[in-house]
Amino acid sequence: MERYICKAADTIRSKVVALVRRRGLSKSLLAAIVVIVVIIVAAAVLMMQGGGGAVKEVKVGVVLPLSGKLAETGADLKRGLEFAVEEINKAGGIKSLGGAKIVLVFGDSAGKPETGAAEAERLITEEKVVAMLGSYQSAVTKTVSEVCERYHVPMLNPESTSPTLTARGYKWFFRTTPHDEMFAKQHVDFVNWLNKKYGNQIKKIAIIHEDTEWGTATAKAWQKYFSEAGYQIVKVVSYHAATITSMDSEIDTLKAANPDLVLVASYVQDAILFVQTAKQRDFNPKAILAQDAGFINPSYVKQVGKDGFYIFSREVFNWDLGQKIPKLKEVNDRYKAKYGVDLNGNSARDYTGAWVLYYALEEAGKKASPANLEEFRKAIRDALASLNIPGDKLIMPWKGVKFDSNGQNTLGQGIVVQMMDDGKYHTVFPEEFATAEPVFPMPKWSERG
Amino acid sequence: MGMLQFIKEGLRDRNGQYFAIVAAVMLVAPLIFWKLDLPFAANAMLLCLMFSIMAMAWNLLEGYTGQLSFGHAVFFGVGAYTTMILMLYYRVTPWVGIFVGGLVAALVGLALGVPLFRLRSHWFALATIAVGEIFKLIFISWDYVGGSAGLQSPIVPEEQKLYYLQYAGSYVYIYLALGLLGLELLIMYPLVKSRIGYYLQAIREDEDAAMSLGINPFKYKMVAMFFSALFTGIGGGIYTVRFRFVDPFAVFDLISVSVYITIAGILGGIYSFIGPIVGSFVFVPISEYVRVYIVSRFPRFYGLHVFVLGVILLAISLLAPEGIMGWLEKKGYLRKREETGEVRKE
Amino acid sequence: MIGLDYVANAVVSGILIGSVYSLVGMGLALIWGIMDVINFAQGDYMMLGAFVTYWAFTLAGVDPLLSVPLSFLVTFALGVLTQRVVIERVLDAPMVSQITATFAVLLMIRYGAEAAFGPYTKRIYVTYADVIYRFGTISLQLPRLIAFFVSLGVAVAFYVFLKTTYTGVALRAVSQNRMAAYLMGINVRKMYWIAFGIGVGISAVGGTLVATFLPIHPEMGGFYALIAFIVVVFGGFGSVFGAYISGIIIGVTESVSALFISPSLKDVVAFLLFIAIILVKPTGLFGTEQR
Repeated sequence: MERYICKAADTIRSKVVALVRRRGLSKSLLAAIVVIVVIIVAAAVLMMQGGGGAVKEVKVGVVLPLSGKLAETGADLKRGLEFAVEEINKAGGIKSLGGAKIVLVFGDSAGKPETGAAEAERLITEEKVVAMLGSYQSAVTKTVSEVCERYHVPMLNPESTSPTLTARGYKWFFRTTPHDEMFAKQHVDFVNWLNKKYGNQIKKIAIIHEDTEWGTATAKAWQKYFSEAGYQIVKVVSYHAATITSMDSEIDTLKAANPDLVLVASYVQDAILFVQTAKQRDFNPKAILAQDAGFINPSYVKQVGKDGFYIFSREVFNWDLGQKIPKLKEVNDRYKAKYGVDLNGNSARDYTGAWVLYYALEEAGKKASPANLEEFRKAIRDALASLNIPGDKLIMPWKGVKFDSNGQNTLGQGIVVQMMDDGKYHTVFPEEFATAEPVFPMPKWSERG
Repeated sequence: MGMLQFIKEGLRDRNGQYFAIVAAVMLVAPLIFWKLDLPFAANAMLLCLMFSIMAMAWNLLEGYTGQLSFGHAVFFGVGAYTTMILMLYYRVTPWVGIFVGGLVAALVGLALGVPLFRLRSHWFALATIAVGEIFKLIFISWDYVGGSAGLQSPIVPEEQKLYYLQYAGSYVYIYLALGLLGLELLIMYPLVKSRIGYYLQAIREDEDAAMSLGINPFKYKMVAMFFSALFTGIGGGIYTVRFRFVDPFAVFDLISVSVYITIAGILGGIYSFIGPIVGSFVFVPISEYVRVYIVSRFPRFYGLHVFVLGVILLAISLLAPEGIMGWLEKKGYLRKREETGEVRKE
Repeated sequence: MIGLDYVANAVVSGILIGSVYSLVGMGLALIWGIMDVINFAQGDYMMLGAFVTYWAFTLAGVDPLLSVPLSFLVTFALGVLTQRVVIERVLDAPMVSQITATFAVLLMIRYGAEAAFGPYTKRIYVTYADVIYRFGTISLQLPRLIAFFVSLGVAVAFYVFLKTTYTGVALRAVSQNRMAAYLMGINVRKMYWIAFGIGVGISAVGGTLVATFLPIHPEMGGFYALIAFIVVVFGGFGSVFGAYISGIIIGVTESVSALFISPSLKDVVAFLLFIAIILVKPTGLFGTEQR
């Protein structure tokens, strides 16, 4: 490095001297040029990072929305990751690399795709991470994964659900969570089941969704699969989550369409707004079924209180699964002891994602060393592609983790939960994980306490 | 040999020397960033250049014609989307696509100019804000352009990288932006020095008086709008090739596009030809620095970087409405501008 | 098809929320009319009013309605400060400085609040939040009803103030002819302070009222500012009466049209309406030609 700089400095100096001789530029101008060049080079040198990675630590990059409106969720996800990594390191780290510890290096996407991409580039080129985790919002995951694909860095995506992410033919992108189309199909299964149980009361369906990619893709998937299954979609309403101040017109429009079931895709603040406006406007569909996100957020649960009772949500995970999945109970107890809250769909998925990556790191460590970054990243990628984790090793209600050629885990599935009058979500579907009977139809606002 | 002569002449004069230094630094910096793996610096530099291009274009309407626009995000977004659509659906190379994007943006500008130029000063500003929001909402609901999901271009194989201008990092794009900025300067400089430039300033000073002198304000405003929208749209095209992802929330954003452009222009000095460039190079690093080093470290204070922007804008409006260049000139650090043909603002 | 009772409900709903729009609009009209300054940050003072109420309620248990005078006074003071420090300096400056100065104030208030209070949405839960009066098929939520009457009260009080008090008359004099008012011994500068202070104070009262039934967050001002512009342009600046009526009308229009067109397009319609109005009749429906 220093040799390169000296050589460059010399070349520049001789060029400048020649210029001065020929053109007779003033001394002050010459001084200016020298000063500028020196400043740039000095700044560059000062900003240089220390040398390559030691094999005591393996750096994994994470891009999440750590600031901005989704910062609460970002913090949730971060906790899940950190908890998992702590466990892994305590259990001896990456054994195939002699016990090397995993170190998470965070980048803040602030919720914007360009910022996420810039952060990913920084983590890859400056921090020299071996793999990437993140990034919750599908739009951000899109750009971050593109950067990873370009730089040949394996990326594990535990929480973005847009189907398009695994439809791009990428070779370095892997997603553990099921995506929105898979979830929508499951919603149909659930409603069919509900109808069978309670005498076909659901025929007309309305959809309300926030208008970014997540909400829109979810709504499209719902329309497709529910129409195919013979239900009538009577209304579709969209709104802009970031700026919405009141949902009066939205709720009124839904009310006017008189649906039996309302499907909702909302983030936290709009979920709260939805529920409270529904109450104020006395909107009483037979059931409300949400697509997690806002509805499973602890902040929502706290703020909406009893108004949130009896709402169904598709979930990826629930605390009461601990009754059916022993490993989960054990992990959740420890998590709760440390952070004071239960695991939720977000922290649980990221927790799982970190573990899946760890399994891949173990495999990769057998074949390559982080000292050769390129080789190691490829080894991780190959390990992920051939990974096959059985369901009983996971805390999620999944059959396992196995990625198809598009990088999608085909063995995942969701569950449906309902908030009961103890203020907690209980699993009601699929039957093998259910801990409670669903309450259907939803009691009217006027009939509640 | 005419080129060499031109350079020799240019270097003789002080301004020309400064220009040469700056140009040399700009050309060398990306190489240094690349060799030393400094993506943050490269990204910041690219943003500076993009905003330079767009702020200069914006200033054609503001500094020269007196029409303050808070809606340039429209042209940025249209340019970005056009480039992306041509690339994605029609496999047109962005080398052409960027310019087509600029042209489409220019046409949109002309179309908007028809109703909007009837409005003076603050009405115009308000209307441009409204137009920006309308475009965002339309693109959110428009499936052909990807709706709220936006559009992402796939990664192309090695041999198509040059055709599609797909490269990792910002380094290559800095050179693209430099070239386009140079092109913009080459086109705008004779334009503002010409009769048209004088007419525009006349319109800015007193539209009615200009009219009485036989200058058709509408016609010249349209000319200004054409070039203003054109280059802002080209800026959008650069965004597309660099990030390869466009969505309505990013490209039609009031604060991070329209307001940023406005601040860059005003900070640098709207009555100076290169003011907007200076403004961009001062303002973008400050904003990025605050965002990356302060807000990210303390996410609790999200919003602080925009607050700082507000403070800067306020300070400029109250203390130095003519921006950095105006202030420098007042203090005597710059040569008089008579030679460069710019009208002094009293 | 949309039943008549839905429309009726929408109209009532629109009137109630429109009364809040009216407050924000009246404040803007006052500032505009007296000083010919466009306060871009009008919506953000409203947001401040909402947050004053929130903190008073959360920290000291003060009922939101009691905090109306508090939020008015706090915002009034801030408004006078803004006037002294910022607006005064750019009153005679070129338009670009005026616009950028007020826009800068917008950025500082909005994002300063965001940095200070956090970007998250907050809600107030008053004890009477769930009380709903029903008249046939029409349902009225108590907080909104109260908001309507308070807003009406404020408007009436303001009207009386303008017509009968010395300050009120002086303000009107200044708006009609600044030079003549000055020559008559009116302290024009102080009048400007008062005008700006009242203008944003009334807006803050709107914020307080809204806080009782809608969530609040630092960026809420943007929407209300747009509505305020539409209200003022529609009703004519300088006309307080016009602004109040036009606020109600806009509220009803927004509410009813949402039943027939997709709610997400509601914003597009609002923006288009705004542009259409300033193109066609910038002095508004009730406006009088100023200066």
